[in-house]
Amino acid sequence: MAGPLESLNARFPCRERQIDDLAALLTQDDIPAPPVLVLYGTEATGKSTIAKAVLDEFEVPYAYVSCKECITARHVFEKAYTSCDALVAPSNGEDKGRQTRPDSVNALASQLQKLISGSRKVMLVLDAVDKQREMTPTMLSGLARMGEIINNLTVIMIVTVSSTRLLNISEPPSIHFPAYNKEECVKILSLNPKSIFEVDEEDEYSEEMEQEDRWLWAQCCSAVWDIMGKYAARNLNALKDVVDELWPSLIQPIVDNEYGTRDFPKLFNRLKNEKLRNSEESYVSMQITRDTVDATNDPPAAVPNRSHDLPYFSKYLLCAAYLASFNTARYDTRYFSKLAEVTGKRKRVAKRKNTSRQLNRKHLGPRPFQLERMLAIFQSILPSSVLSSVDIGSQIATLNSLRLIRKVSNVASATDASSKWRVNVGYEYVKVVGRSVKFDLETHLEE
Amino acid sequence: MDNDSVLNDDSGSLEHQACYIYTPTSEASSLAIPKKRRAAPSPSSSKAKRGKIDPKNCEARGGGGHGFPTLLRDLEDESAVNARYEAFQRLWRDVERRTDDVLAQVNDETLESVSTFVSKAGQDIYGEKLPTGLILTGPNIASHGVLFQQIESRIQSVDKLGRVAILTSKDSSNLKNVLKKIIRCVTEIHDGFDDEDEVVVDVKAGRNPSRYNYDPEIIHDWCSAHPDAKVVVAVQDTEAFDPAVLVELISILHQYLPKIPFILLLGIATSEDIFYEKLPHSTIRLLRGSRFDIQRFEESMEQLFEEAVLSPRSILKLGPRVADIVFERQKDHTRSVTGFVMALKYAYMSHFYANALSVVLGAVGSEEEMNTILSDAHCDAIRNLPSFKPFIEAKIPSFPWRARDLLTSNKALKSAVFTATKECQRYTTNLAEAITLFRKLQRIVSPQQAGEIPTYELYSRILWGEFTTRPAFRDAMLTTKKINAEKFHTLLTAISTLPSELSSTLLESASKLQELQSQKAAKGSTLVSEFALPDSHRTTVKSGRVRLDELKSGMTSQDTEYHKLVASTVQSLETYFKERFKPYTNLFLHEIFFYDLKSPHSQVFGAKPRPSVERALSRPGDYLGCECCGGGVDGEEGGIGGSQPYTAILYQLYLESPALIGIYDLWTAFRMVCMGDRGGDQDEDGNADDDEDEEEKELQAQFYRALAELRFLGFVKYSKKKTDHLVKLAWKGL
Repeated sequence: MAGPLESLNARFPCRERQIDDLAALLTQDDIPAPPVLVLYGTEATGKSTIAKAVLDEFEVPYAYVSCKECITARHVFEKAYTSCDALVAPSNGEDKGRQTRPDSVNALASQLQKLISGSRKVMLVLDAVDKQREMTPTMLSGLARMGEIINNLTVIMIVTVSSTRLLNISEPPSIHFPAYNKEECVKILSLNPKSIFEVDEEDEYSEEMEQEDRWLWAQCCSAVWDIMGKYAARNLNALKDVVDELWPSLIQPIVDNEYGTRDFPKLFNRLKNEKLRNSEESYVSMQITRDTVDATNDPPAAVPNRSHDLPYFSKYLLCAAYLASFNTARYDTRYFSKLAEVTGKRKRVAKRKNTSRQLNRKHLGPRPFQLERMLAIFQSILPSSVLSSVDIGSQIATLNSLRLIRKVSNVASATDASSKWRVNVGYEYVKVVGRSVKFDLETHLEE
Repeated sequence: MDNDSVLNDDSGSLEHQACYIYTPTSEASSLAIPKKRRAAPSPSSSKAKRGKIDPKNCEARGGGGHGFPTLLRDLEDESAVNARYEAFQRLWRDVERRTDDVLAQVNDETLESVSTFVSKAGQDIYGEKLPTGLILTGPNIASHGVLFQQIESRIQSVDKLGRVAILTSKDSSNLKNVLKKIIRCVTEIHDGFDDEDEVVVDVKAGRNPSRYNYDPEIIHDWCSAHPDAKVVVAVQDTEAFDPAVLVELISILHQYLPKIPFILLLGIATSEDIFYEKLPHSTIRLLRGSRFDIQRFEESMEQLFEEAVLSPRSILKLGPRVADIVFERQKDHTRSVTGFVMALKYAYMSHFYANALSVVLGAVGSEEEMNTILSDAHCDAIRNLPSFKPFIEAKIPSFPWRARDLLTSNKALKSAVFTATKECQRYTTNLAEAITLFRKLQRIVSPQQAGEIPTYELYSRILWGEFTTRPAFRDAMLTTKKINAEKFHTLLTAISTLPSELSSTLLESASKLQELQSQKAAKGSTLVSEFALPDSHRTTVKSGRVRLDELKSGMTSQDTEYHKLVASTVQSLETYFKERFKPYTNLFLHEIFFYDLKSPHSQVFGAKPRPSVERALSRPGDYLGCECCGGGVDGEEGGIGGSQPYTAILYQLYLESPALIGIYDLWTAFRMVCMGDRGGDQDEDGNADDDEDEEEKELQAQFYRALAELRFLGFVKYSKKKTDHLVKLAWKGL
């Protein structure tokens, strides 16, 4: 049978160079391993998987710490130590671990030195070490230099981008994992095709069917890559997600005996017309729920807009907050005064438009406003006047905790008239809310 | 001026105390109380009632420790007071139990589906994704806590699927705290889950000293002790939760997903779109799951209304004015079901607290009990009810002796009261019946209209008795005539199932219709009535008529039969509704069965602190009730007067000033008002009298004190732009 390299290459196609390099650097018993090794590449390029697989395959002892799992830097040190501890001395690991809890790079290094100095080569794999929360400036370079202090230790760091500034070491040995291109993606995904028909018993699954599955799966993968590879399914995992998602609806006509398995263009066209046209968005932004895709066939009434559940005055308050955020205060009299003449308004607006080359207010983001100003606008846009009461105050508080508006300044009292607020939702949302109470936002909004 | 000096003296001696008990002199109280009564006018409250509620006669005796006052100018028996209290307790408890049931049912469906989602969620469905339930909770924040408690108890105690950790935005300060809270929720031993291996839990429950207290491995340890249990992390208010922490949390949960069966529940109050905007795509990609809608406000409100108000088991009903106030507040301000229950309870409370005749409600159904509980004073009170007059006047022409009996004999009155209670109850039962029937009809005939106006908004219109003249009612009747035969049949069968006196006739016509339909179907066509003939689009009247004639001539005998059927059915429905939808004010004793006082509700639920403060300061006379402080006496606008409290004077000066106020200007104006012309004279003459100087000093002190009070109330603050200037912070009327 083939050696470990061949089996690795069969499991992970398109990564021959990286596997070779790893094996050469880490697994030769007679050559000392480098003190630090950096594996870098973007998301879903097989860094961690291949590193682990190579180390497993050649039976090199290693301790693996996923830094994404760790909450603090000390947590990383603790995990690194306990996993090394378990690796070197599996028998008494638990007792020791309780006593020592390294809380800095120095402590970790000295404790590891005590632990490892006598033993054979040990690899410490720090996965996604640059994604660690609570990063201190010296932490990475400290970790990287641990291998220089401790003889038998090799620190393998898996990061997204490699640069000398990251570790403060000139030219650390590093292996690049480039992103897969289309052919490679399709090739990798073709390793595990999904089947078209439900296989009930083992013997029914014939060679021929398998071939059909493979062919159609590969076609589907490459078609999806062509459509979405650029923006939605940029990496292997995302592509796999989308293909997994689309697969059942793609093969539905085959299961229903409408098309043969080789009618891929027809199948895919149908899929495109039915699914992707309306809800491509949901695949791009990856919504959590998938049932919305089916809901598009139903009348839109099936999904009632929740924003209509806001109380009547809350809606007006929200509109007032939006207007206060996007109108400048000095034009308030023009837009909200009941005395202002309509003709004068139009004339002045037109004049200003010619001279100014400002951006549309809508695109500049909301600006803070005083609570009192919002209340004044609220009173002026209401069709009937309402006295301020506890209810209005509590509605402002509710809007705040829904984060439809939010407080900007840190004034002690939340409802202090001079506290600064800001609207926190976009134009479209407010427009819909306004329309539901028959309020036309546009007429009061500055150009 | 006498009064003023008294007031000032009072405040002078008390001003250094933190708080004091205000004991009005008898003179002041006799002045103040009627003023206050007038300040909150309620045209609805009848004279007779006002006499009873008058606070002067209310002496909280608290015989049974309940604090109900003795009413009817102290003539009420103690037993009657207790009976009122007991009646309140009994009736309200009944309503409360039923509303609680409804409220529990409201979320039941959502809870059920969330629970199934949690039990099913696992690696086989969602793979590497974190199973996520989006719970669209609606913007009523007050109910979220209850909902998540229910979810917790459902998953944890009832279905025993695992542990639930509820997170609120208060916990979202940083990731460590969030994880600590989750760990605490998971590892703490609750009752009712895996009691048998409590010891194992205790050993394993994260007390392993080698771990940090935020290390999710602790949960992993717990999970290995409970292999089937799931760990549900529920975020109650996702909007307010710090997005950065949420992103971190999701990535941590996702990292540990292979080891710990995490499930994430996110409560979303606004909309999914807003939620998606907040999170980066890479985070959203980690999540997969389904969405749960909780019942919308309108539906649950409708259910609750039917159970708590319409149901014949609730004896006390809301009057139209109160109903309007309550439902308007719901619509405009709160939209919360619990808010409605509170308002309803308040209605019960104030009715039994302040209306002596509410004892009748406790004794409904038993004549004997009613006879014993009603005293002579009660009978007099009943004779004073506004509804007694039309009642007795209606009796006079036909049974004059009965009318005399009712006026003179308490016994006769009591028996009349008993029959009247029966009458009232029958009215309300019939009303509820007719309303349900009408709603059903409306839902079949014009579902759109039914969706627009909920039942509880119809209710008050119907009680006024004018609903049958409204376009909504006429529309419903007209469209009933016009719908096609098939729909008409479904309508008939649907509304004949409801209990009403019409049900037999309706059932009859339904079977008749069926017969006609089958006859017509045998000929291969459908039934058409004249009402359903299409409107003519011909340009001239004549051609339209010709067309109509053509259509009419095509009608068969079955069609004419059907036409008659439709006409008679709609006619009988209309008379039925008109009969039932009579105004409640026609009833004798409707004051007892319908609670319809507006002002308590509007004052208690819609408290207006700021307008009150502003009013007190700008028109102090309204509250002080003394003659000197112009306001109340002069009428409309009080204006500034030197005799008013200093803070009020300063406030009115403040109202007249611009946004930036010079303190010296304010002081000058203030001195002008308080010292009048004397101050001016003094300036001109230039000779400072010692006495005046002393007075001015005191006035200055008062000025600063008033200013401090305004500052404390939040009207002004010192400006940073200009020395000795104030910034105006609050405008009147906002």
